[in-house]
Amino acid sequence: MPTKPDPLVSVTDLHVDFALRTNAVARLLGSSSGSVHAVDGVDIELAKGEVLGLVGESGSGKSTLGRALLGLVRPTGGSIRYRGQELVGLPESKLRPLRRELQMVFQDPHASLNPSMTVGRSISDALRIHGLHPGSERPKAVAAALERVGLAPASRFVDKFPGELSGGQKQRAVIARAIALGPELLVADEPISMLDMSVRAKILGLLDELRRDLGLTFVYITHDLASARFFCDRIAIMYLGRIVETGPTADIFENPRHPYTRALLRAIPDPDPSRGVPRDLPRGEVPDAADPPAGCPFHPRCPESFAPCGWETRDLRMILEQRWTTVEPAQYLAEERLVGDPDRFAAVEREAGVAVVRPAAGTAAELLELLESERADHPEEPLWSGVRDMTADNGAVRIEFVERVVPRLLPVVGSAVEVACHHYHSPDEQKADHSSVA
Amino acid sequence: MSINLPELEGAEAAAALPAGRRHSRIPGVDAIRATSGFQRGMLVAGALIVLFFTVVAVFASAIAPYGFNDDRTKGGKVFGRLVAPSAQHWMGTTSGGEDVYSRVVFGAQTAMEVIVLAVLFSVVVGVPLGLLSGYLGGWLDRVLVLVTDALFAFPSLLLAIIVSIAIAGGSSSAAGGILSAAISITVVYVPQYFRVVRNATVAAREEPYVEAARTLGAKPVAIMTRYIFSNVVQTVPVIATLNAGDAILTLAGLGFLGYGIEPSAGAEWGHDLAKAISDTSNGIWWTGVYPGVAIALLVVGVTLVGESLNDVLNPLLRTAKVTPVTLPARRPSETAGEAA
Amino acid sequence: MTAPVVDVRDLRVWYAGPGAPVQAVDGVSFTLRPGEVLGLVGESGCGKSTLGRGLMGLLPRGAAVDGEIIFDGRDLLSLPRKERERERGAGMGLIFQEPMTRLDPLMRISKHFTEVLKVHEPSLSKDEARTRALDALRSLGIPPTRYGNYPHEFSGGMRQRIMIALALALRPKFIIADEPTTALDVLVEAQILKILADIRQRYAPAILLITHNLGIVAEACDRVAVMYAGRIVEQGPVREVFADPRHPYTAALLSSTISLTTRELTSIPGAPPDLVRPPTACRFHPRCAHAMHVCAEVFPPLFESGSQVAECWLLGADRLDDAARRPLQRQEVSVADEA
Repeated sequence: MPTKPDPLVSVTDLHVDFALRTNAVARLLGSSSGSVHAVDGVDIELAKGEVLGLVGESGSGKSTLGRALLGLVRPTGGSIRYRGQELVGLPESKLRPLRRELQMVFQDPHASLNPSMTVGRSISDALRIHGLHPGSERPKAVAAALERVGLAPASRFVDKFPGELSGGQKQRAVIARAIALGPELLVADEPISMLDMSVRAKILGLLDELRRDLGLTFVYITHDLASARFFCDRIAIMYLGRIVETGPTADIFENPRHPYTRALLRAIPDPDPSRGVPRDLPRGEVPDAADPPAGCPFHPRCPESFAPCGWETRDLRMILEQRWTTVEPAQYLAEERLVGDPDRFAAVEREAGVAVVRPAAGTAAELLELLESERADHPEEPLWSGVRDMTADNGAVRIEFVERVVPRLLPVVGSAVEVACHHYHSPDEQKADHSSVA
Repeated sequence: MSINLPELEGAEAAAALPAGRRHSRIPGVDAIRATSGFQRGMLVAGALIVLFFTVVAVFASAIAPYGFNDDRTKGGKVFGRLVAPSAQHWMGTTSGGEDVYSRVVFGAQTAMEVIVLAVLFSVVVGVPLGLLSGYLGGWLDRVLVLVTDALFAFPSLLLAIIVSIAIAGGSSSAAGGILSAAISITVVYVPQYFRVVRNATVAAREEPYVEAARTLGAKPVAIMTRYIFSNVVQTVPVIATLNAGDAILTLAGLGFLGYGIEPSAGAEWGHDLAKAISDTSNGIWWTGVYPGVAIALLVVGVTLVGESLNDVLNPLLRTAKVTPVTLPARRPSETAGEAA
Repeated sequence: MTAPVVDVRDLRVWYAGPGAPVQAVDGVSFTLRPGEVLGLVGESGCGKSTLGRGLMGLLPRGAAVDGEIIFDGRDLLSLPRKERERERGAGMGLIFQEPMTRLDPLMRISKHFTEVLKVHEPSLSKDEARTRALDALRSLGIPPTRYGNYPHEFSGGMRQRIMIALALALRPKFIIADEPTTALDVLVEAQILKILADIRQRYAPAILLITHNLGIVAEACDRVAVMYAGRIVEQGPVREVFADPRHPYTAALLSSTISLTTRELTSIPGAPPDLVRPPTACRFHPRCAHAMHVCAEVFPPLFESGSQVAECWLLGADRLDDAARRPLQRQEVSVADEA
């Protein structure tokens, strides 16, 4: 790869954890009962003038990452350097002056404007905070910002309250407020997703224009691959707090590598009716980020997963529940009696990679027989490739899984793309690389 | 997330427009415009009663023929005790020989002064505390919520008595008496403003526009005063009017029990009522009825205003006026279209 | 051809607005045959949700409806209210955008089903009801182990499946799905669309799918009705309409949609009209690039063009004289008025 100039922003091994207070006692005592890894070890670099797309579903950590870049959420580890200055651990008072250069556009244009301030005051207050364009210059600067985003003549809009504007006009006002400060970096968090179809193109067009005219650097956060393809230079696909694939936009769309990226691309409903309904969709939904799957976080849903992807006990539960939606009710009742509450499968393995499951009623041999018959019925189920051994032993079924390796984001030879998937880098490579880095 | 703009159709659209108009600040004018029929009658009646008492209070010395504590004319002519209503004394005289009419008029002045001061103090103390507590959170919030909840749990009149004993001791100056009564009542009502403002602030703190203010680099004080304040105080005028009615009763209760304003420092309806109790058994009604009616009337007036303001301004209770639609006949060109 | 399940003729639904009534649905006609999926597409405020609610008889206070909704051979609008409500419960199913708002948080999923079945099919025994419910849930991929759970214990996609299962429990002939996937992630959305496709195979109900997403229409519907300002401006088979839109609004909506193949952004000038005072004659004429004099003066009739029908004078320009055909000078639209 050619040597790049110093990046505007560089993020290394960023972690953002949120404490969970799930039970009443923890809430009363103010202690935490676990945490969610909203961002779980992310590395990215942003060159000046570049548009980076953070793409993912809800719970992927894309918004948290965007907010961490602006210092709106406190990272729990790692580093964010903006023009060489470390932002992680910087006190709020030191961050505040920097905020002029790091701005944000929000998803909900209505909620991100103070309902009791006119549009003009919203913008002039932003200027006042940073002492920009003092005195009689300020109204002129406000008008200039409004007209820059297409709210012209500005005199028609300065005295309007947000409630009096349409969705698109409000989003323009939010963008005006951000650019009035003359920022370097603009984080746009789903800026068009709440707007109407015919308005989306207008706002995206405005952002594209601002990027060209003002040389802004963008982080474009979205769940919508179509707008990301149009707007971004580079894309990072996120899943459960990690980047699973990143690279130049053209490469990602022409040759998606990670099974998750491929699934997303297949799933987008396209207005071209000659495309059929997608088959072979990932099963299930995004799992609970407080307790992410072992190994590759996408493995339980992945249509292409195989042995090393991180199979574990609770994946068995998914398999059984899947089975029970297809078998006859009588058979389900009998099998459920034998297995008992499938929640037990979600329990932590006592020994890493080994599950010991006791039948609720009946013998271990019967339970083993059930699992074996499921294996025989669906040999194509990737879970079974991750099961090394299954034995009835001591009144329980002992299941041994293949060793799990968390796939790391590594460059794909011969391309500018990095991907975190065992299909591209063998578990040995993943481990070797890890030790060389560590 | 893929949430799309909710469609502004159906009832939402009907409700949305008047809500947008609510930005014109003065609640009075807008409130009356927003009401209709019975509700408007309530609001107007309440406002008239309150206006009447305000006029009486402001011009008390011009309206009342005598001073509230006088038992004789300027010329030195003694009124006499428990004189029945007559041309001289429209509402008779008390057992202390004072003119009941004058005492009722000056009582209005006392009540208005105490209420205005009490509401003012409660707002000045409760609103900023609620803002701070709600925005900063943490231990400050925990402590303040605990303290105000404890105050809430206390019977309000008892609380007012304790505070009045603690601060007034034996103060007897008119201003001191009114001030201490106002403070006693303030302590009772501060938790209400605190609670409402604090809860609204906790909700507003999570609003994107507050996060936007942080992104702009606003300091916490600026966020609280410029971004949160104006959005959380909208319910305060309603609580203030509702409380005012309650406060009148608390003031009268204090006076009735002898913890209010010193009789020599100002005329007070509750105190007069207490004094009138022994008169009733002798068939003397005028010493009790007039101050009693005054209390009841003012409370009703203030409550009417408060309740109808609540109906109009509280979004949970507000119901949009709906005029049923009658469909006009179809345009001929339109139906002709089907045939083409 | 089989007889239509639903035949809506010239339906108007106006509801009370501040001041004048809002002409949300103003003369809409369409039919649905068994097993057919009609996509009703339009931007917010075009009246598509009001139309859905109007069909179900769920309308705000003060709203007025006229026209005909012929369902199963009877005009629902002329039925007494009681009978109409029965029809609504049993004959029509409804799937909403946010299922959580329709599921009682304090009721187990099993209870939701037994309640619905008890009301509409009292002849069913308890066991039969249970089997029926279990069947519906299983066919939508909800494991029977979760039958006793509460709504909040399910993910968004699961809740939508439950909602669909509930709508299907009574085997309705007609299902209205109002933005059923809008609140869901794209992969789950695709799963739900697949489920809807499976339902068609199994039960062959007529489905009215209300959405703003043209991609969903392309993937899940046979026919599409494009709604603008209270009118259906174009109707026809999805493939034909999307490949060769006849109404300028359909064309503009298709080209302004950002898809994976978008290389250049295009948009529709101006903003959708206020339905309290909609434009004269053709409602799209103030924003239409091809507007003629007649468009502002005479309501366009419905023109048939192959299997498509559209309300647009362009399709009947040969019937017009030169004066009517003169291009309409469009008012300058500033960028600010757009959106």
